[in-house]
Amino acid sequence: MQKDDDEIIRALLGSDRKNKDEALRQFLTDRPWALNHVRQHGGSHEDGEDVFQDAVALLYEKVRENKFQGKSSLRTFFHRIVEWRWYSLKRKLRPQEVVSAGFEPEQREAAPDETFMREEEQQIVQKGKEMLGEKCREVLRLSEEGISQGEIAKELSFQSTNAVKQQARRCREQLKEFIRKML
Amino acid sequence: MSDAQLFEKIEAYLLGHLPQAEAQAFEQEIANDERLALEVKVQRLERAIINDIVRDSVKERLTKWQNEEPPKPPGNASGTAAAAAKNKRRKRIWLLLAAVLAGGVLAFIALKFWNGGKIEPQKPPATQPVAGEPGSEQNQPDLPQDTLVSPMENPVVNTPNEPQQPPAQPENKPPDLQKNEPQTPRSQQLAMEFAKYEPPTRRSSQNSAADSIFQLALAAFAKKDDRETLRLLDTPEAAGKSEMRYLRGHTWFRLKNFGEAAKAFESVATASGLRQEDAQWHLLLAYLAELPKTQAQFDQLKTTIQKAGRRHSHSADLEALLKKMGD
Repeated sequence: MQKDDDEIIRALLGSDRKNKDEALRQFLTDRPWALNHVRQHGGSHEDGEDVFQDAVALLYEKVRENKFQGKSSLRTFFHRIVEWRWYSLKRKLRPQEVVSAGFEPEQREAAPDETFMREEEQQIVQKGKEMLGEKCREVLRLSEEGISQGEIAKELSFQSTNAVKQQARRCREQLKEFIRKML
Repeated sequence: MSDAQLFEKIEAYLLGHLPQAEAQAFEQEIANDERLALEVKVQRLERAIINDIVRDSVKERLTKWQNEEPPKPPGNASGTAAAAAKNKRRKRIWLLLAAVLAGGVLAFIALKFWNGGKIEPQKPPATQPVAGEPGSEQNQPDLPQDTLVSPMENPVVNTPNEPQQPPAQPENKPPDLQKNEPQTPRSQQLAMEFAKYEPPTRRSSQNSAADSIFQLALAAFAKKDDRETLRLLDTPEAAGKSEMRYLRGHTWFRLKNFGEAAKAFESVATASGLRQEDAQWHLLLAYLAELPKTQAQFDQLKTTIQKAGRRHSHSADLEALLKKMGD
């Protein structure tokens, strides 16, 4: 059953993993639209798949960061992210084509996907992810997703919620240390 | 400031949650304090790494769910290349059948004349070749013509989530074919009669790419070059501008693709702005054109406009429309 925007946002911000997954799953209904959009704008099926998945992940991030202000419907917002994501990817893959098409956006602040990072910073992100152990990655991910510490403890076999807190702190410190070294 | 407080402040700054004045003051502080600048950078990258971990996990989940998705019913999977190929094959079969049928009819007519002793070999057949018949210029088996030019020029997106779209665009049909179409329903005639696009009275002060595109789209719309208008409006800038989405709605409306028109108007009608009431009115007309399928939406929006009374800039239009509908 289709959920309305408020329900989806509540689910995405809530701590119930099942609801969260159901809310994310709703966006699969827009996958054909995303694939079509990318194909019609010169991309391949694989590009479309990448853009669709990136867009869902980005939308989730924007909601978590409270950057979705509800000025449009969530679906429209999602479509804009798909469009911008494909635009960014195309600019990266085939810059000449994008410029010659004449739609270089000037009002960059309007883009929902505004994650511009320098090449070396992208490398730090990639290496930082790899440097963290599996357990650290999971603790940080579940915490970021708003899953309760009790549930994290249960899922990752910690003795207590305090142990989860300590582990999360240690992982963050480890990450910061790594970043400082890389800078 | 304690470490925890500093962490919170940097977090709020990175997420854009600080009030503007506070954010500016903080930026000044960062510019004057190297250690703070480094701390902000570290925290930004830390956030980026954690976000990336979540992204990877979301993508993994999506892949898993996609694989679990039951196969789509035929005709519902327009997003895939396989479905496109299937549609192509289906169109070819229909065109072949139409050609065979037309050939049969012509042979029958010729035979009838021959048997009746009215031998008029020089007389041309009564009907002109129709799209799809051998020899006709319209006999392009793979529709739509614009895909032969560029995928950008084919703005028709027919996805399972947009069931209101009619399956074909009428604008490329030759006059003969349009003559044979069923009569336009009264509700559609009324909708077309009441729809009117009025360009904005003042130009945007921003000399942006979006503005230039909009001016080009306006010119194309005025020349009734709907395909070009849609092509111009099918850009990321256009997606973000309500004025452009509004024009897009009118273009689809003129093409009698009321489903797409409704979608474009809806995106403007639901957000407050200069065009909100115009978009509501034209959304109502798009619903009207598709009655009885859209009866519920039509009634709901009609009530909304009626409730607004004289405050709504199209209340008089609505009264006139309802009067005509009652005739």
